Amino acid sequence: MTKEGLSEKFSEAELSGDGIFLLIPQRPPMTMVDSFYGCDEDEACCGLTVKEDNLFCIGGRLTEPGIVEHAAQSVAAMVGYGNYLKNLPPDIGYIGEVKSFRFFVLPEVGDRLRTVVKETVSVQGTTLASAKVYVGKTLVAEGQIKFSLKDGKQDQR
Amino acid sequence: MDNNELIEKINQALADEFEIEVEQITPSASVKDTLELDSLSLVDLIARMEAVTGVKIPGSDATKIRTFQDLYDYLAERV
Repeated sequence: MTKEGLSEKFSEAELSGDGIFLLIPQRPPMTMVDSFYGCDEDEACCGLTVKEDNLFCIGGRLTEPGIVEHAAQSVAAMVGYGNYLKNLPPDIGYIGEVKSFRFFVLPEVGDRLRTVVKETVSVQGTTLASAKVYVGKTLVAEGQIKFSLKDGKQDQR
Repeated sequence: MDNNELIEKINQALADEFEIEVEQITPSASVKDTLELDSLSLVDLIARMEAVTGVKIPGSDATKIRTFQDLYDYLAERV
């Protein structure tokens, strides 16, 4: 388990509850982000409380695919934030690739995930972003996600 | 870093990233064909070049780079 500092700049949720649907197209039970803490030039922060009925929970713990899906939806929320600012609905996107993901611990039911995603490159509708997933100040997973908008649409930010 | 060292670093990084032999990379060869680039892997090229040289290639410039010589010239001018 790795302990690292989590950025303090995204301290309060800007969108939560149904508001998250303004940023991502997923709907329950596939929604894996419940809060959006903000976005600056190339970085955003999202959150998720792990609930017992989460599709990706087994034996009271969020499994690796659930962590990846949460990270991918966090990237989608960062991309969708540009649409939100322009009063546009979120675009459909796909996970293009999951790279170099490492898992240090599987979060338990009741844990609160906070994930910082940072855009590395965005070109022709495809975004490569790094993701760091925390519970409290503990880094539970990190890796890279390649996220591609449907039909190669350009990021609206 | 002189030009030859820069080219060597670029070639080795691309060979590692795209799992090809360094010998396949020649100045006149097509970047797209040699690396079998598509819209998904283009971001890997840009990210790797930024990591190696510190130069961020905007998407609008990336699409203009045809050969490895174009890539070397672009990066050498900005590194």
